[in-house]
Amino acid sequence: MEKKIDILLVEDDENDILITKRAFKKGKLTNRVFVVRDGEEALDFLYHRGKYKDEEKFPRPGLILLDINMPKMDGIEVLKRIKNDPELKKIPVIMLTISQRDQDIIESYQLGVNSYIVKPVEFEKFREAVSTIDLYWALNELP
Amino acid sequence: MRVENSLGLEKYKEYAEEQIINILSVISDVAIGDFEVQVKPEREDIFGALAIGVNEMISHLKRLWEEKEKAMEEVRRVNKELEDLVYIMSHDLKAPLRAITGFSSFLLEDYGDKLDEEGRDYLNRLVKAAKHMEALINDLLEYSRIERIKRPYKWVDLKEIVEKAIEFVQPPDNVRISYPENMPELYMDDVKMQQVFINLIANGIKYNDKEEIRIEIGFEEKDDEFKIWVKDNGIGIDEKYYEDIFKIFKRLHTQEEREGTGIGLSIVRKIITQHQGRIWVESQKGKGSCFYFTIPKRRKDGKKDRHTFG
Repeated sequence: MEKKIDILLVEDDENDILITKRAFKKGKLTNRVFVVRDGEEALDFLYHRGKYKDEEKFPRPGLILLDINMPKMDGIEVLKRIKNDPELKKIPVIMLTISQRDQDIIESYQLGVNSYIVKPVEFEKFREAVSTIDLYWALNELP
Repeated sequence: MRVENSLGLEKYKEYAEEQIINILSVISDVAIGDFEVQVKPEREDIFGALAIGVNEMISHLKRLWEEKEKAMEEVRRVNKELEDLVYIMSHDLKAPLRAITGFSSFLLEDYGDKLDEEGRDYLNRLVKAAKHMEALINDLLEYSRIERIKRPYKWVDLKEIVEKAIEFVQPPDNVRISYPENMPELYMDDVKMQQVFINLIANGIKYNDKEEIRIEIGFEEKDDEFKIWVKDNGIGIDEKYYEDIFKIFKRLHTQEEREGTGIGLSIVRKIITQHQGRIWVESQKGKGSCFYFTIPKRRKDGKKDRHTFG
């Protein structure tokens, strides 16, 4: 069996984290979900820096859910860094947005986002977003 | 001595014609909005006087035009500021609202059975109100988006747009929609125009109690514009609301009667106005409504048929 991927959720809003986790729970998703709270922390995680030094404990995720509005470094900046890194850019990114306008803004950078979910994250929306990036096999849903 | 005497009549005719053509060519430049042109007076005669008069008129027009442009610029600036404000407000409101809708729904789904009927009723109301507020804010964002998004206009067959709109609406089986075999090609933002038909068709179905719902789409070619209509056999609109229905969030029904936020027609009007058209409704209570709008005719290069400033 293929190895199921880990998911990195980059989200600063505590409520949204809870809502997203519940959606995964409702969808009976058993993939591991790591949560980081801002853009800088996301890069630390991806580059195994600081408290994420341990590559075994914090492996490179197979999917990133990236919120657009965050303190310190926003989602677009993180996205730019990911897409400019030859290794990281292989990881599919789903942007979490608030409105169509966010999507317009992201599109204007032409960074090659894989998919979008307009918040709140619900399992159906997640399933749909994942199906567009041909990653569905990597999700682990309990029957 | 008069000029014609010094030139001779034939020469004078030639000279006069040349002067008139010069002035006419300057006037026609001004007519399409070029205010940088001036007539060069050759002699101190009647044509010289005419040239000076025309030049003064052009300078005056130019001043007026610049003032108007300045005022328009100010309007655009204020408009943009307002739109940004609407956007930021609705954007920021969404995070706490998402928590309210989310957690009240979760409470109902996960713990609803632990409440008595009254408790569940309260919670249900909370969920419903929060969802409605979410819909209002989403619509507000969508409304401000219409202004912001500027797509290039192109020539599109109106029939194609109508068919796409119908496909999008997915009318139920009891709905009959008719439209002409041949429709004109119009110069427009096809995505927005599709939205116009989607909203009008969906309204014709939504505000309709007839067993067999009929929607008729048609057009009429006029001298300088196309008049297009979407007609239904629905519940109709009282004449005193003919204007109000196009205002944002204006509704004639309660949520219980018919769900919605009241954004549809204001979006339609905004799009039609962007296309420099007009929109209005004619209706008979109980018999149906007909929404008319106009789209000005354009030359193939996209310019309006007639000279217009701006």
